[in-house]
Amino acid sequence: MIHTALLSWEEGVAPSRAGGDILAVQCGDPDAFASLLSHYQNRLYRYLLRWVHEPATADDLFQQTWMRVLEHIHSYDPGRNFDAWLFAVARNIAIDHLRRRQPAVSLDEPREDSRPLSADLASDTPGALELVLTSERAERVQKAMASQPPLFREILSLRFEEEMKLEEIAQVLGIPLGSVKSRLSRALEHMRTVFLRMQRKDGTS
Amino acid sequence: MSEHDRIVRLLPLAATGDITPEEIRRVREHLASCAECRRVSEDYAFLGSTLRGQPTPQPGAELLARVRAMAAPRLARKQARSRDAMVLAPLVAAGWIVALATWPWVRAAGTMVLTGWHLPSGSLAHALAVYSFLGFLLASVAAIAVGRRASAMGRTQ
Repeated sequence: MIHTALLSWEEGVAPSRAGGDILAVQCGDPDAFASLLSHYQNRLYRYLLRWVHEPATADDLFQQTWMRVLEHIHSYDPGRNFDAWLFAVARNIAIDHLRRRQPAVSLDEPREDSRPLSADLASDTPGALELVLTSERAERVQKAMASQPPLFREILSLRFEEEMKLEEIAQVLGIPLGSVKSRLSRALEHMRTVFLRMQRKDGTS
Repeated sequence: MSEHDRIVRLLPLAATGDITPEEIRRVREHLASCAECRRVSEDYAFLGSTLRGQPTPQPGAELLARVRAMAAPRLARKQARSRDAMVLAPLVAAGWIVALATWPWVRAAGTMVLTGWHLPSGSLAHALAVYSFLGFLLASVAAIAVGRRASAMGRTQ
C-alpha cells in the first residue's frame, strides 16, 4: 500500500488498479495476477498475433510471455511504464521465435518489389480510396497490414491499435525517438503503397 | 529539396498527429494549394482510422485457463518467499535486540566465570566475539534451512 501510494505520488497520478496489481503479483498474489492478465490479455494477444499471424503460435507466445513476466517481475522498476515493459517482454519472445523459425528472414525489409515509394506516393489515381465500400476497404487494409514486414507491422500496431505515444513505443522497441518517427513514417508509406497496389490489382481504381 | 518534397515527407506523421505545431501549420498551408498531397494525406488518415477500428482478436478461454494454471505454482513460490522474508526480517531484528539487551548479563556472567578461572580480563573482548559469532551461526543455520525449503518447494512444483 505504501509502495503504491509512493508510486502514485511520484508520478503525480491517481493510484491505478494495474499498479497495485503489479506490486501484489510481485508478492505472489494469484488474484492480482488474474486481474493483470484480464487487463492486458486482449491487447497483448493482438500484439503477438501481429507478429506471428498464426493463432496457435500466438497462443504459445502469449503463454511464454506471461511466464517470463512472472519470472522477471521482481526486477520490474515501478518507476517505469508497465505497458512498455510488458510489450518489450512480449516483443523479445516474438523476435526470438521468428529468428529461430526463419533465421534468414529480415524483420524490416519489405518482401515485395522494391519500387521507390515516391512512385506510388505521387499516384495519379484520383479519389481512388473513395470508390470502394467500407468493408472491402477494411479487408484490404487488413491484408495490407498482414503483408508488412514484421517491424513495420509492429510499429503500426503499437501506434494505431495500442494507441501508444511515440515515447512509449521507443521504450518498447528500445530505440531513440527519432528512429521511432522514421520507422513509423516508412511503415505508413509502405502500407499505403501496398494498399494502393492491392486496390489496382482488384481493379477498383 | 522543395517545400512540396518536405511536406510529402511530413505527411505520414502528420496523419498520426506526431508533428510539431509549426509543422502542422506548414502542412495545412501546403494542403490548401496541393491536390496531390491532399489525396495522399486522406489516404494516410483513412489507413490510420481503419487500423484503429480493426476488431481486437481475443485469446481463448482455454488459453487463459492454461496461463493461470501454469502461473499458480510460480505465484505460490513467490508467496512463500515473500512470507519467509516477512518472518525472517522481524526475527533478525529481534535477534539483534535480544543480543544487545542480554549482553550486560552475559558480560557479568562471563566476568564471574573468568575471575573464577583466573583468566585475564582482556578475554572479555573474546567473549563478546564468541557471543556474536554464535548469533551469526544461528542466523546462518536459519537462512540455510529457509533456502533448502524454498528449493525443495521449487522441485516439487
